[in-house]
Amino acid sequence: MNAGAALALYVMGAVTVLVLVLAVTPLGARGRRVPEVLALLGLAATVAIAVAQWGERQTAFSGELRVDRFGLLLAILIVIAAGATILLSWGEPAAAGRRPEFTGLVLAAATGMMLTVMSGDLVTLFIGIELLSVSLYVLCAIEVARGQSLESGLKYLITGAIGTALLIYGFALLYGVTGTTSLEGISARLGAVGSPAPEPLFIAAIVLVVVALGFKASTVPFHMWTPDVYQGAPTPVTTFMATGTKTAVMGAFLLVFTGATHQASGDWRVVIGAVAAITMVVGNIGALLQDNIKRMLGWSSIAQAGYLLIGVAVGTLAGTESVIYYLFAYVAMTLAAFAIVILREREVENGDHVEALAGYGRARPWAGVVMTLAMLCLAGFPPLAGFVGKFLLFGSAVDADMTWLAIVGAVASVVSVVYYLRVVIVMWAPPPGGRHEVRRLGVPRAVAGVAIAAGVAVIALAIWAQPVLDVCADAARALMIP
Amino acid sequence: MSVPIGAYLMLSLALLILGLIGVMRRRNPLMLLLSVELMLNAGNVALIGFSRLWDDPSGQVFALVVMVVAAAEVVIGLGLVVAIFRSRTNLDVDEMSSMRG
Repeated sequence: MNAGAALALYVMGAVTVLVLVLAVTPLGARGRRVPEVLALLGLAATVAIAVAQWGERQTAFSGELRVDRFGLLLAILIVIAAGATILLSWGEPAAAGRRPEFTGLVLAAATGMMLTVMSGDLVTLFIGIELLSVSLYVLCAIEVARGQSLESGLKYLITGAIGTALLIYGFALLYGVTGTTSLEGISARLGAVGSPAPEPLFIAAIVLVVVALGFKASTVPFHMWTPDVYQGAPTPVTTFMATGTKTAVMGAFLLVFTGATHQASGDWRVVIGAVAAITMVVGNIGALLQDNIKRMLGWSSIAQAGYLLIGVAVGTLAGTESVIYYLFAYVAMTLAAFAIVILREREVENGDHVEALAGYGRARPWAGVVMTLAMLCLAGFPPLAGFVGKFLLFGSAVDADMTWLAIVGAVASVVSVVYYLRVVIVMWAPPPGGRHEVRRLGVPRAVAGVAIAAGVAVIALAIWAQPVLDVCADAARALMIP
Repeated sequence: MSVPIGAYLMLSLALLILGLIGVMRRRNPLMLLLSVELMLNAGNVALIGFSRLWDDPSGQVFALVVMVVAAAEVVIGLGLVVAIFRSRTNLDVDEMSSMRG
């Protein structure tokens, strides 16, 4: 019980406020990089604190916040995604004239994501999810002069708000059944027999929370906003939504289901399993038809959410461990793919079309290699990190007698090979007008750095899978064994 | 003496369904925001009802938090709607000026 346990969140909050204050402070030409540098320093400090705090669970504010290995590990992943987003938006035209606001909102969203995964109470969880959502609504629409950006912001806001309303109702019913909003309290009440409220209310609560978190994590049938919003938002924001939001919402799924209502897993396993199966199938089929690479990656992120949900549906220690590992792999490969898209968008008009990548692999081989790695990893080719993660997820489903889920996942992965490989083929095929027709500009070093680092991470996570998995297992144990 | 929990639940369910119907049938963004607001308040009624049932204040605290968040969401929503209306007029004006000889 010490308020100091939440130090990482204080640092994030303070840096966010500082950067947002810079938005109303005249910085001058010399100070124009101050917001980004300040933000990156703050993120580095947060990672350092998280590493230093690695250990047994500490709580702050009467258990509202839980600082344990689970929360800290996901927080580190979120901070990495936020840092990469800030680097990817270096010199981004979409944020021109609004650098401090852009950076500050990314930090605010990251703080919300951290709050989500470190929450020990439904109220804190809700505040975290809302802080991240509200910041992202604004970030999507930050390019006020472009109609698509505004449209994506409004679409995200409306669907997100419906998700929020359903989440509240689900949490209200969960509170009604258990009489407490504390995650540990819920777990204890469900473990004890003789709850006065009827069982149907609990089922309704489970369904509503799955639906509401599904809106935020873009799982079928609440995914329809995803391709539009991913396409319309500025690409660095799309990157952050795909990586950070997914991590935080999967963390919320794990906290509410695998953590708090584990005693009632019989009631939710089938619900989440069914959502996972439909999501994998629909996501991969939707991606087949796309010519815009941001839209395609949007559909692909729907499918990836389905793979991740397998580990939640399973509800075992092995399942949780593989979800966390796959989140690391997913963030690395998504960052790599989007970094190349951002690179291309800066060079040509409509750089987010698949055809814009024609011959790009020959013109700029390192970018071609990174994109190829990302696509092969997303498709789950061995020996990359995506394969290791999927192997573990499907394996955990088989071990938990949910073999059907593993089969659906494997079939869906085979379908996904088609559209991932299409990008690879387009990149390495000779361009229509010969090699010199591929227009190249100077590479922004920050973007190239993120691309290469993410490409290396895709391989490194597979080579050093065992040590990473040990850490993930520690986190899973912290979640499941209080 | 006190209102039974069933009454709270019926009211909140009615509000939730009204909001859901509004979200599905309305096409004006302002009406959509209003419908979502109904749904959020349905959650609040349920939270306060359960708070009385369990004689536990945390449900009421939760409802207060929801109100703050709902206000923040509406502010962003209205801001976006205004920005969209503005950008539309701007676009029209630009088109008109590009035809000068």
